[in-house]
Amino acid sequence: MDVTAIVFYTMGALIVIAGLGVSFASRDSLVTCLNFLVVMLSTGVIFLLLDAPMIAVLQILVWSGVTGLAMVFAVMLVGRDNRTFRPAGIRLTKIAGGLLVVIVLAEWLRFTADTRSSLPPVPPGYGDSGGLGVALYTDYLLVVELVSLLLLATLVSALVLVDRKAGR
Amino acid sequence: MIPEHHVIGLSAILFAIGVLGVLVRRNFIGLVLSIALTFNASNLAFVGFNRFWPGDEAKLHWDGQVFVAVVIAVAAAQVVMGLSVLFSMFRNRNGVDIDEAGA
Repeated sequence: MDVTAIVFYTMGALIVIAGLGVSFASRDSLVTCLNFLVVMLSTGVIFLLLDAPMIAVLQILVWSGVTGLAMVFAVMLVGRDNRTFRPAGIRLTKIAGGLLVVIVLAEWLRFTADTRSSLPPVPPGYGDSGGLGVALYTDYLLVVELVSLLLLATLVSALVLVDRKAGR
Repeated sequence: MIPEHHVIGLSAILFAIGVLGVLVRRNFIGLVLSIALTFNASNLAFVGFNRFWPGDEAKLHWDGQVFVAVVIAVAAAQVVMGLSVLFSMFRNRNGVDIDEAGA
């Protein structure tokens, strides 16, 4: 077992434990946010192990930096009480969600049955941020422009929603 | 070395945790963060599959990582919209209980 595997399994265990903390720890919203930060930072480390340094930087900047801190700010605004869970009745959404979970786990079992190999060796040039940038601005230029339009629309609509005078 | 199906398995488990969190949570912040967990699970699967089929030296494949960049941007937009909805909910109803907001 080499260092890569040890780091991977440590980070995987951290992700699962902190993910359970995000979804099911009921006491305090702030604890939920901190668990979320742990999940995102550990996922960034796993991205580094998978030779995607640019994605790891994006992950840590956007998820932990922006989203995590914005959520901590929201907790400061609305209070830390997080004890309410949904009532235990069976509804259509719960059936659909449970079905989704079962389908995803079954897909994983099928993938495991088909593919039991380690990751292939890295070809030279893979993991350079430059290659990803060239791909983004040649083959995927339309997608990048659409995403920038989406972000602009989000900015404007968030301002309209929050502004007291412009709203209803 | 890391086996590929362990990466995908971690992603599947994280996705399951996120979906169950969406079903269970009633607090708005917990709900938004659980949705973000499912986004993160899909990102993990994308990067893992891209690492599994990296192409060769002549033609490297970047599709998975491009997908992840787009997903991160869209998820950031989703969180921003969630925050502004949270603000209006808090101002108009003085609480962030989702089931009460629907009633």
